[in-house]
Amino acid sequence: MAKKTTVTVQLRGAAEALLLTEAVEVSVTKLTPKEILKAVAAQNPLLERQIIRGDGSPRLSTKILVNGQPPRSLDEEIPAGPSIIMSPSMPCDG
Amino acid sequence: MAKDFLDFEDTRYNRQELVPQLGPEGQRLLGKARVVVIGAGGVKSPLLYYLVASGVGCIRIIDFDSVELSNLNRQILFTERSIGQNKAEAARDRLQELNGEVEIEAATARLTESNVHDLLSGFDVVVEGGDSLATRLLVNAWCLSSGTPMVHASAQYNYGYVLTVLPHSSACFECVFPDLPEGHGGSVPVFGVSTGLAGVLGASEVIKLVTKRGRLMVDGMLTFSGFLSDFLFVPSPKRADCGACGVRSNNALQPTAFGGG
Repeated sequence: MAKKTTVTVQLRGAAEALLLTEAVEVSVTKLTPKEILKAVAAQNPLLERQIIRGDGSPRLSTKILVNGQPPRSLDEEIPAGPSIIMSPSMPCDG
Repeated sequence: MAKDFLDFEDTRYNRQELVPQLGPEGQRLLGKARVVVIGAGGVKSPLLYYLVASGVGCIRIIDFDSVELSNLNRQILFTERSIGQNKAEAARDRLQELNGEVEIEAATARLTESNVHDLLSGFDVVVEGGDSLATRLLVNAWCLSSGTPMVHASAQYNYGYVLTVLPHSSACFECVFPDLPEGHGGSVPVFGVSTGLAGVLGASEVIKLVTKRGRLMVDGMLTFSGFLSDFLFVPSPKRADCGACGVRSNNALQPTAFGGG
């Protein structure tokens, strides 16, 4: 069984609203933005629709910052002990 | 107190003319500015209030929708007496009471591909809005095509953001949001103060644009999370593969689409 890494993700926007918390811990087999986005999305069906496209890939509209910067690619390996902030896409205003 | 302050005439705008970064020249630029605002809802209500109060010369408000009771927690231009009225017309009437010096026009049409040029052309800034993702992308494309700067402010739940698009020199709306989901079609959960915050931040962007002062929120968005008391700038640079402004898009080089220019 592949070893999993646990990481804390700071949530903003819809993620914070829907999960009612400002941070979650997720465990992923590969520490990449894509796997982190999928792991957070899996925690709420409404959030999943905002974060994941119909083909199962994460939306580029969802913003994820690793150590304060957007990653070059969603498949990029993240160094250990990162600061991660995620802010899902927002389709319309109120 | 400095002599300049004592001699200052007590006019409608003198408090903001005293702000060094603005001054009388900034006020003159505000008075010359023409701004078109799409929508008069929760975000646009405070945005419009501050633009009109600040003395923007001419404002067109576009909204086909009517005021409903459930709007009143956040759409602060309206009162219970406004229910059933067209939002653009009700907003114009309220704002004209605030400042009769501003030329305010109400357009009650729904923005479409066939009328977007007629409704948006001739203005210095477009404040984006719209009832669907398709309309937002249409407005973004029109602004790129015409070279008109665009401000986008939005809010949901108790969070929101603002961003500004400088056509072809900064990230456009589609660079930032290339694959948004369609709206869910139901009632949008939203706290009134979050639309207020987003609207005020949007008004600030418009004022910086037309007065050519300050630092614009470009190539990313200024986000806030109300319950966390948190403001964060999220970088989102221009994308070479953007479907709206990228190298292979219709708007990549010259203003040609929509007959604009």
